[in-house]
Amino acid sequence: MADTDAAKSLSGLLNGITQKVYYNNPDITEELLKNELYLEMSQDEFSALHEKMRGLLKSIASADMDQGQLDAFLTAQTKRRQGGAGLSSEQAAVLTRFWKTHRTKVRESLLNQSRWEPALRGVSWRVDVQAGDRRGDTAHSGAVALVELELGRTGESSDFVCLEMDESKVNLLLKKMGDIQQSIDRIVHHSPQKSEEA
Amino acid sequence: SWEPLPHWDSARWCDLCEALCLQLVDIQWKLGMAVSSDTCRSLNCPYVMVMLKVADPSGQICQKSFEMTIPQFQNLHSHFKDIAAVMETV
Repeated sequence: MADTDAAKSLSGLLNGITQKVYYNNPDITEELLKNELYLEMSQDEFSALHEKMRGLLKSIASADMDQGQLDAFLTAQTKRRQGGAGLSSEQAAVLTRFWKTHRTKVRESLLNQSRWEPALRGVSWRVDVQAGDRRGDTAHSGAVALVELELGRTGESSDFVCLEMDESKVNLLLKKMGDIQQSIDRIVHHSPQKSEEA
Repeated sequence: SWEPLPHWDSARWCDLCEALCLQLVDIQWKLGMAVSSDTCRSLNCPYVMVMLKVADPSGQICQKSFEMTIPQFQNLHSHFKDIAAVMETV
């Protein structure tokens, strides 16, 4: 019974730390976590536990550990228990379960945090046939593509860029995109560690 | 005049195009691999970075850059294939 409660509290603590550190939830504070989960624990004891779990999660997330790596890492941590700073095997089990459900989302958040250029959020387009251009120049008649790109940095609002392109520009873009795809195919085929996205 | 597509917010599009429709002048790209960062030792994430050289209605040239994941790039690529197919038929 006591073990189940301890596991629940620890799972709540890991959730709270993850919300705060990786999902940027500003409502979660160390004080809130203590009051909700570890009311009976002394402040010093709680701070030490919070710090330890935060550090462990940081190591696990930073290395994007798979199951095998995590097992080895946690085993090493439980062996350090004699020194006082280590982990109980119950705590290790909670961490394992926790990481299994959160790994993908934490990784996604870390990738977003390390993207500093605006990202492409959306594309919409329309093709018009122009009888002439704005200046009444019928020499430029033909199909025109209007492409709206929605760009934005993580946590910032979107910026809309509207591009006007004739057929030759669209073909130029397509050719460059073909080159990019070829380069992608090359790195995917040569990389020993294939990305999940590939 | 063109018929608006269903769900087309024509007012917003017209505003946008009148005000800031940009002519594409050139495009440069870079395929990169994010390897490691201060928050993540094992990023290993490929990305496509694009730099668009565009001209505003007054002819002023400026640059717009953005980054895409591989799936985002592939999605954009398929949009442009559709655009080219439509342009060929009109």
